Amino acid sequence: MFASFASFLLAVSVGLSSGAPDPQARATAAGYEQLRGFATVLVTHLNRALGTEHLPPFVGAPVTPGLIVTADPSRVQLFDRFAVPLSAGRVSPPEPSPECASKCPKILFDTFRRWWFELGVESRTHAVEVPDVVLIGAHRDLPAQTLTQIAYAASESRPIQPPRLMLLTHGGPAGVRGIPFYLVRPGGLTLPPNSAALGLTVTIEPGRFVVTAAARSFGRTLSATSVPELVAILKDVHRHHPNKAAIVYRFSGDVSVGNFVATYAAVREEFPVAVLGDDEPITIP
Amino acid sequence: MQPRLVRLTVWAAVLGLAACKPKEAPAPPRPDPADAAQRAAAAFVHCVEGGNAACIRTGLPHGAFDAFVLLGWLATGSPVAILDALSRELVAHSDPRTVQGRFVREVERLSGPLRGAECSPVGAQELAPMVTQLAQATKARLEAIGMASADMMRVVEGLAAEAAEGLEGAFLVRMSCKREPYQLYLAMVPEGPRYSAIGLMPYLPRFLGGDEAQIDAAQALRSKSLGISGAAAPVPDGTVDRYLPIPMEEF
Repeated sequence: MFASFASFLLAVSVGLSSGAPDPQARATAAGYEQLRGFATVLVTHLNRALGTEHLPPFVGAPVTPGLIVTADPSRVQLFDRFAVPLSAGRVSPPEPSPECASKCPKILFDTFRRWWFELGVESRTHAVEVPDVVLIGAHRDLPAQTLTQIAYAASESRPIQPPRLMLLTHGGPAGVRGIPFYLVRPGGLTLPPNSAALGLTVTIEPGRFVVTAAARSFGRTLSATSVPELVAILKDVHRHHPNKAAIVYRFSGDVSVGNFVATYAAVREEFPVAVLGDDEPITIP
Repeated sequence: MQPRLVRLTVWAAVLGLAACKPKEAPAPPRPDPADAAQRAAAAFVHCVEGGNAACIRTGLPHGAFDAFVLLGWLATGSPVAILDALSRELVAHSDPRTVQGRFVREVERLSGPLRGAECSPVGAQELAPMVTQLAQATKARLEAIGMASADMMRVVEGLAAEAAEGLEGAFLVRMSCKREPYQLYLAMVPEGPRYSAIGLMPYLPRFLGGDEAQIDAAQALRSKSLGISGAAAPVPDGTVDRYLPIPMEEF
């Protein structure tokens, strides 16, 4: 019986890999973009956990396969392995982890670290890489501060180096898409004085946007009460700093993931690189 | 003497003789197989610590435990890894020499960390009943995540049948260690009156009776035996830092 099963396994293994590019082609396709079957897994899981229609609407970049994390106002799910309860979209209890430089909640940090451990075991046992991409599918009503905490917990708990991050969006007929984003170094970022960095920051508050920059030469704080007003301010900033592409987004109060994505969508032409930060200071001496 | 009386007399004599026969000592109670498996697991670890190449016996159902491990992977693994590596893993599984070779290499890798780790057995579970439970969990999970193709279901059923048959009477022994690897599960299969190791796994999912809370993930992630600690790739010149790998001039 097992001899025939072994033959079947060989046949199936060929079937499972047919249609996928050869390893060389896969490598040149920058990772797992061609990973057959991942799109089905992603959409199936998002629909079960969240409902893709609840993702913030935006036609972002194609999704790079990775670990899937979902968050709605009641819980954060690390694919189907672990869950952390949320209370009205906030991590509860909110006690920070002493091991998380960004002061991300201990319960989130520990849960992610447990997941990385399992993935490390998987990597050893089955000779695969520990995934280096984390896809976050967040309900558009989730407080954006919770998104930032999730991103820091996922990044700071990963051994060796932080993963690449992508916020999933609902691209309409384009399907599930994403916004790649980065984080300000946990605990704060100090840049060399001759770095020529600007460190442009937009703090999104309920009904208000505050624009600042870490570079002393910027020397002002600007504010807007609507997205078009913000866009006008940022276009002006871009005229003076045409080589700058990044904005650090900070959130206060009940600003949601949907608010963040709407803001990003409005300014991405001038500033396509999104960086999230909580209270991490950016210093240019 | 009438024949009937003769027969009765003979029977009485037989019974009397039987009654007079000295009583045999009661058979010693059969050793608890779980205890025997745990003792064998402890002996195996001692053997590995000593760097003895003969700790692993050949001709045992290593493939059955590999099938169990593959089912566990499908039930809990990351979909990216499964989609990427399942074909390769199935090819490897279909070759008994590859399966046994993997076990040999894993044991060789662990021989260093196990030396001085002071591991001792703390419990044993029968593997065969776990196979049914695992197969059900695997099918349910694959259906839930959109990976339950007909071929995949046949793979699961085939692996479950192989594991159930080969692991009949086998035990999974949990070893607790004072130092890394901190804990270890050893699969012990009966071979005549004794037990032999056919595979190992670093942890057991909770739905199979594993106590995940006992794993200190922070400690485990740093452990050399897991082998994922190490230096990060260098930050490319001109970029902000590891968290923000974009050109400084764009920031």
